[in-house]
Amino acid sequence: MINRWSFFNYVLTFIIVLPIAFVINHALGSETQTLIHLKETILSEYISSTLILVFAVGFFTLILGVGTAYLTTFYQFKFVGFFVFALALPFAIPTYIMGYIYSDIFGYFNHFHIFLRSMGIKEYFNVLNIYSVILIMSLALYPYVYLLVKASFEKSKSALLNPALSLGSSRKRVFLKIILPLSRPAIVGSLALVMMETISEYGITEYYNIKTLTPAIFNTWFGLHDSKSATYLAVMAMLMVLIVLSIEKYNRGKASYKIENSNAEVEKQRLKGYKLYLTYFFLSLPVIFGFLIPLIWIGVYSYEYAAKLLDDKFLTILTNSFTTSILTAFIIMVLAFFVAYTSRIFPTVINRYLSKILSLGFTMPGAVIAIGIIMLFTDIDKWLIENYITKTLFLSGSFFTLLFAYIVRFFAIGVNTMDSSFERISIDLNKASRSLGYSYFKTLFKVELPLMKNALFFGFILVFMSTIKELPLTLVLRPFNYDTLATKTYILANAQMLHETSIYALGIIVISLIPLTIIILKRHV
Amino acid sequence: MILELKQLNKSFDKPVLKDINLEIEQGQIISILGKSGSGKSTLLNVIAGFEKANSGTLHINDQLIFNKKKNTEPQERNIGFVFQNYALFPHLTVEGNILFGVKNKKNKTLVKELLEMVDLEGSEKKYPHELSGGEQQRISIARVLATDPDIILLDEPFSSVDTLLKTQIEKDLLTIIKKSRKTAIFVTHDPKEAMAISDKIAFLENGEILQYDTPQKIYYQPETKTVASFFGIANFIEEQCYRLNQIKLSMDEGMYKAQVDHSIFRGEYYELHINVNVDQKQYPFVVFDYNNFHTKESFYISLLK
Repeated sequence: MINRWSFFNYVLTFIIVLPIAFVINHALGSETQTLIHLKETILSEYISSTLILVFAVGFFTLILGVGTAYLTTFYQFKFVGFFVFALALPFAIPTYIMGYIYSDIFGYFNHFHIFLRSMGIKEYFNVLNIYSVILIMSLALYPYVYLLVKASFEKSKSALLNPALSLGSSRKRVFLKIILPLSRPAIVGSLALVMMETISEYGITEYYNIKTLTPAIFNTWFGLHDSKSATYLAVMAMLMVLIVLSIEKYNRGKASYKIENSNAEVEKQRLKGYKLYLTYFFLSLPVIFGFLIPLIWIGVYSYEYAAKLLDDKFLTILTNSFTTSILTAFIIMVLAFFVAYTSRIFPTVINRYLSKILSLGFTMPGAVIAIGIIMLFTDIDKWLIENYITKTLFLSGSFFTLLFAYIVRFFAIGVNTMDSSFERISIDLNKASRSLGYSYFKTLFKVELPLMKNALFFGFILVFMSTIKELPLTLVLRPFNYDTLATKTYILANAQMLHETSIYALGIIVISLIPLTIIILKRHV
Repeated sequence: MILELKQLNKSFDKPVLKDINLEIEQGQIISILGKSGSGKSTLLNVIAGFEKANSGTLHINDQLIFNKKKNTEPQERNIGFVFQNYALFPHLTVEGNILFGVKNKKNKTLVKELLEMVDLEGSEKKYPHELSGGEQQRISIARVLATDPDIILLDEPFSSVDTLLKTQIEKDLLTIIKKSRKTAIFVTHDPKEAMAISDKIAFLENGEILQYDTPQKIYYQPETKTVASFFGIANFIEEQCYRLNQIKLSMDEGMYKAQVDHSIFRGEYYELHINVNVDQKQYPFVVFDYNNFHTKESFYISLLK
């Protein structure tokens, strides 16, 4: 039986999946000359450098993320509270901005080399290479691993550390044999997120001239005007993501990792001597290089350029970023609220799968979604003009296109926060309300909505932050002359006006820091 | 007839309810009794409208509520549902909860009346988390009574109450329901509870009602051995069931001779496993006695009707 609720879900899923379907369909066509050329020449380079980047970034984020989570969860030392907070901060700085900043600091005429020359060293270290990109991306992305793994460590620690210790195991053994294996889903899950972000990263790979698939998709589409090859590359990127996802899925297997909630107080071990100093050193590295140095750089140049750049134009761009992000977050949360509610009240197999499919956009690289939407909307526009419904391009290049792209890309965030929040509210409350005379629709507003205010806010903030930082989709799909903080940063950086990016970067970081702080404080205090 | 179920069937992957027929009269208290997985909660959900049956008919207060063509939504069935975990709305006060299903949201007199009835005067402004389990349950009943339902459905209302409190809460609940003169259907897995509170018991096994009778009848005249043994120790001579209080022991005289197989010390009494000799045939019985007997010792028993 299809009811109104489920029907809404089906339609929404169809619309959101359409762009991705377009890409796949287009790529399945016959091979073009460029594609043959691609295969003969640089396709293997695209794939190999993407793979190198994915695995290297995965490796470093694993060490940084799990290491920092371990130290801050199981040991007691001065400033541990500060580090718990500070280690999440690099999240506020988009990867591409971090990339611009380090390319400037290590530029030939700049800070680092001036310092070297003053020491009498004349050598030049060029940082525009894959190794720097690996390090920078690891610094920008390890907070995913840190936050998720720390949450998992905390949970299994308070539930299982004391019982395990009482059975006569040493702390080290408990960690290695119990807590680490139990946190495997968190570790692999967060690594999968990092890897997907790495595959779809555009700003930094393009600026450092690393030939990975995502910049290749854009260059083939816009530079060579070869849509067939671009979609082919997009499918390659999609396949990589699917491989990452299936590894994650396979890893979960059948074992249950469910841990009962416990509030047991568990004593942390005190650190002393050289171990303490090593800990400080290890924890400070990501905070200094991932947040402090970029922040100082941004602060210094923002101060220098404030007078010149803080004008109406800046204000317009700030407003653009704000309005698009707020609008996106609002629409997504409203839709996600209904979608999640539908699979709550009609928990059919189809509805459960739909919320998985609706999350596809988040796993797909932005570039894939971008060209999918361009193709889809061009076709619709063509049809509209051919049938004399409109005279000019109606959808292509409109604000609506951009908004739609954001919704496809970030819908998963909304639906996941809603799903997990609904899970915490007993379905009996819904039944109780209906047996007391309220319809599904009224119950949603009378019972679930008031109970989910916090979760809605949380999801809203997450979507908002992601949208503010988003680069490739915005760059490709924005209306003519429509700039956001992210695109402006990109454009200035690519025009070699790195210092001028500071003020826009500051905008993004300040805006992201506020909600990030709220979220971290809510969780840990 | 306040509730009438005819030939009701429900299956998920396999049949859960098979040809259920049930008639309940106004003011009766009925228990649906069965093991877990027998389909009793599904039956309650089907009556409430949370689950849709595959076939059959359902009438409430002589009005057709469900058949193949018609399915009335739960909110229009005028039933009250008391949940196992009470399902009080955590964001509303006691008053807000009680008035949730009432049109007039300012009806303070009704709240006062109901709180008096459930013996919780003065707790209007409290939130659910400030109440004990038993108090929460009484509020959830007050919330249901506020809408003046035709029938109250209660899903294992005592399962989350500890044994010491159970008798008291059972009594309170029964008093409240009797006072309100409502028809009520309890779902329970506890035969003692079912016998203590109900006018009639429907015994459910594998989705079928095996017997629907008064507690006395279902206890002394069970129609199947499954029903018999579910309500406690049941001894059989052929198809006839004899309960403990229908068996009299004597050293000197009686209807049948019996020999002790073994005995188990239970504190206040001994549980004797004996073989009863009837017309040259042996029947295994379990009886209780204050005295201990050794294996092979024999005595007489008499059976009362």
